[in-house]
Amino acid sequence: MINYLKLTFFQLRKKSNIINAILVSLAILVVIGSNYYKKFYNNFKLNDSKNYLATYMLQVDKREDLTNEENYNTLKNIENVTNISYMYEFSDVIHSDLFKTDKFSGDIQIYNSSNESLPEIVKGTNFPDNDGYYMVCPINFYPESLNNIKYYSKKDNFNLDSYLGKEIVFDYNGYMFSRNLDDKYKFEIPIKLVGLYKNANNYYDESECYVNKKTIHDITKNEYTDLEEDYVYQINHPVYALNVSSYEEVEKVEMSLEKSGYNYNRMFYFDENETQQINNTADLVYNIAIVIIFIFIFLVFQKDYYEDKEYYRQLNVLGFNLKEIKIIYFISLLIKVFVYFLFVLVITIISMLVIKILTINYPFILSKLRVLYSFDGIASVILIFIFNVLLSFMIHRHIGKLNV
Amino acid sequence: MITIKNIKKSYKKGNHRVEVLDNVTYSFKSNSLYCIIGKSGAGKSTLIEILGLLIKEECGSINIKGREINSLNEFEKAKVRNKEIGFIFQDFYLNPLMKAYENVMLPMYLDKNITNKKRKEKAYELLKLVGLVDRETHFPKELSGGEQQRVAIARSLANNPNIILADEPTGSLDSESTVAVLNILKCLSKENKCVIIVSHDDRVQKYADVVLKLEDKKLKEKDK
Repeated sequence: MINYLKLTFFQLRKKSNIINAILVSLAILVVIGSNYYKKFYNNFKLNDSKNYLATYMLQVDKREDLTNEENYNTLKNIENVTNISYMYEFSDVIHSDLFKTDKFSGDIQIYNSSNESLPEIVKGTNFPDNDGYYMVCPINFYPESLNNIKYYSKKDNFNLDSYLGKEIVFDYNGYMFSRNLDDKYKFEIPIKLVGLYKNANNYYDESECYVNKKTIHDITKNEYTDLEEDYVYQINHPVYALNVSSYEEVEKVEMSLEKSGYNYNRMFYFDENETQQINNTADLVYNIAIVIIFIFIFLVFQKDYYEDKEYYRQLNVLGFNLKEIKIIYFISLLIKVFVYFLFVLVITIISMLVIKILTINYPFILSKLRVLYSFDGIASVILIFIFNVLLSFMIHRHIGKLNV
Repeated sequence: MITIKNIKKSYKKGNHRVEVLDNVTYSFKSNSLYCIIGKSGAGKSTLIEILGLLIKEECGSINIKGREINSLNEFEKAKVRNKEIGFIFQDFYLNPLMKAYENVMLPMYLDKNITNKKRKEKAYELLKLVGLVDRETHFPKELSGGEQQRVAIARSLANNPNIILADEPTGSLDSESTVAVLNILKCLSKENKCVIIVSHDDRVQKYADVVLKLEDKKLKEKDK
């Protein structure tokens, strides 16, 4: 058999092959990059957003024609409502010296929750059935105020593994403390950390923990010490916080609320239309990139062919037949494609390493960037190459032909 | 060795058809060096390309060592080119990306019975034969015109063909290189080969055993 590989490799010595390889690799990266951008928006904005609890929580005003008990029972019976709490004991900020370091203030946000409305627990358990003080915290945890957490990086993570199953003492102040710096308005509460939940990737939930009803009820009650009138007012004029089973069920619950005559609003409004528009733009960018890159790679292949045309004719003059020359040309196309992929692989690995280093060592905003290995993008590139190889092969089917 | 009979060839130029060869008949023998002369545009290069099976005649026949070539298909003609004919061109026609010995080896790749080591050895021998020693691993751009033409001659001998066709082989060379190349071709013609040279160069005629003139679309022997 003819040593086709050897005969192909001579032409690969061309210096322009390196420039072509770099240009084509960059073109491929544009396709993979724009596909990543498209997927990023798909996953990050659309899907991940729906994993953030606040996007499927509703704030509901009391119906004045019903008693508190009737309101509570009506809301409780709405399908897909997993938890009802009162806005006055819905969320709070508490502090622990255990979490206080030179990096962190030790403050955390807590939210009223039930087992039905907790996010996915990845370590430990959800709330036990008995009466006690329990909490679940995020697996990526920064005990710091919301405004500051975006300045941390992944390596700053406060590891809660050793605290799982243990009680942590938190302190907080009553509302009167700011007016009257009296220790009687300073309180402590031991809360057992029972589980760790999976963070939503696109929101800053790293300082948000969920506590059971009793915990936040008792905290709130203490906060209203010497403000009994205000506390009673809150109890008599409740505004409700509803947890819905999932993002997809929110509209159904809203319809039920409307039917039942309640005023409501979403705790965190997620604009799907805006995100869909961005997603459509990302799709368009990606599709345009595919077309442009296809043409670009086609032109590179043609330029290459015209540079090597004389070689193929020379082979025919020296006695190689058309079939043998076509095989040599075809192998040369395959080898070039392989080399381009190799270049892309190297550049991609380097880029991934750079991103990984950035996300570990640099601010939090960057660490929310996830490296998504998108097979769609790579599949598109493979298809572009296959079409170009076949097209070039078809166009130049008379390669090296003499007029004999 | 190679016989042509009633060869006709014309080209389309604009709306007209220009006849270049009209019933050209000749028999080229081995152990001879032929020089084909003629005015510019007379059809010398066309004739040599027909002899080398690089272009197709309109009518007529070509016979190489008693074998009718016209009826052969493209694959078979390529084989004949590889085995029976060696080519030398004015602009050397070497591959710039191959070293001297690799250029010489190129026609040998079609012989599946020979190992790469043997091909390389043979290439080195042929380069030595044409007076190129210590230049085997040079690329064409690192060689002078004369040296490049000698590489082309060595390549033309790769498969030990019986026919050598040279189209203006000295056209790009200085006097010294011209003499060297012509000496090599003369020696080859004495080794049972048929060497046919197309040239304007008067010096080539002095080396030729037979001088042929292509005039008025016909080929005639000229008195030396």
